[in-house]
Amino acid sequence: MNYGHPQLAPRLAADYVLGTMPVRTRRRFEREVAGNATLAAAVAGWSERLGPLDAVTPDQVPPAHVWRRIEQRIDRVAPARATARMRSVGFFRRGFAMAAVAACAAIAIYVAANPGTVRNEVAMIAEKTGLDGWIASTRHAAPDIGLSTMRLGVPERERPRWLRAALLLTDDARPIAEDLAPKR
Amino acid sequence: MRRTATGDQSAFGELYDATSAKLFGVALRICGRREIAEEVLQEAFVAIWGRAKDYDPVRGSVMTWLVTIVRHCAIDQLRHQQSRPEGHSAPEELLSSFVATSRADTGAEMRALQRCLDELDPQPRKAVLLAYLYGLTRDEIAVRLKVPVGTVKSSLWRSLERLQRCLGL
Repeated sequence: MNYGHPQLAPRLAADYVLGTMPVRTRRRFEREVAGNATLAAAVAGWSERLGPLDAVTPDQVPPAHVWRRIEQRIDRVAPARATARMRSVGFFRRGFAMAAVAACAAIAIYVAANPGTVRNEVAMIAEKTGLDGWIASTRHAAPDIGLSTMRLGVPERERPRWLRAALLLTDDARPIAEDLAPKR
Repeated sequence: MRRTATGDQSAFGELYDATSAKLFGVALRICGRREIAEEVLQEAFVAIWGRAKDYDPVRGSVMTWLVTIVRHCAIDQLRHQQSRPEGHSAPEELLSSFVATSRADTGAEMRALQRCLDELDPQPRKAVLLAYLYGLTRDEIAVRLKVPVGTVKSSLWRSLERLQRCLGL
């Protein structure tokens, strides 16, 4: 469609503002309007002229639960902003990957520094929601010590080889590795 | 709106407080049922939150932009459900009641629009109002007015051309 045609622009804009444009055509038209000043001006003109039909429509106060639902949804649909980066899956994956290396280093350093004392140390880091996170643990006492990692809430194929601990616990749940974990 | 576009949730709350009654009125006018209008308002505000950065003040007022989003959400919802609310008033009656209760600040614009609408023949005027006020498709207007869809399409075009000249667009 030739959106640049001088007679077509106001007609399409009127169709758009009136609401009679089919959904698919409308979405295509909206994309075109975003980069076409002539079409955008035509849409603005029709919207402002027919706007009084809405202005005289009586106000109706919506119930409070509508806003509560909107709030819940926008918490999940954040617009582009700094916090959006922190909420992204990629951010957590990169964070966990970096954490993994340090976690194993923390356990390995602790094991090396305390030969014969290690039983089943467990290191865990979890997302605030508790839906995702990682666990690393020693399998046996020294001298035959091995490390294993397990990711919470994700398929096995996505488990990384290494993990970092925010907290390292002994059998009696005493945190022992806080000072071994690298500082951020 | 500018603050909302930066992700300021409290500004978005203020925007909702300032505009939701008007927008809910528009949604209710089109949908005819409160529960559907509530859903439409919710969808519209989630869309507004996501698209706030697209708003350009050069291209119209904030309220015009918001109303456009709400109207299209309402129209989409009705088309998706393939159902129409029962008991819509005749659009001219609805319009008369709106005008009778309109505030002074909207009166002049409304009178100008009504003068131009009055210049249209009764049936094309009704088609324009059914489309705008209730979000009816051309097919639905044809059923309502008991005329072929092609007649609705051509009469809408002619009416919009006449309105365009009359409104100075």
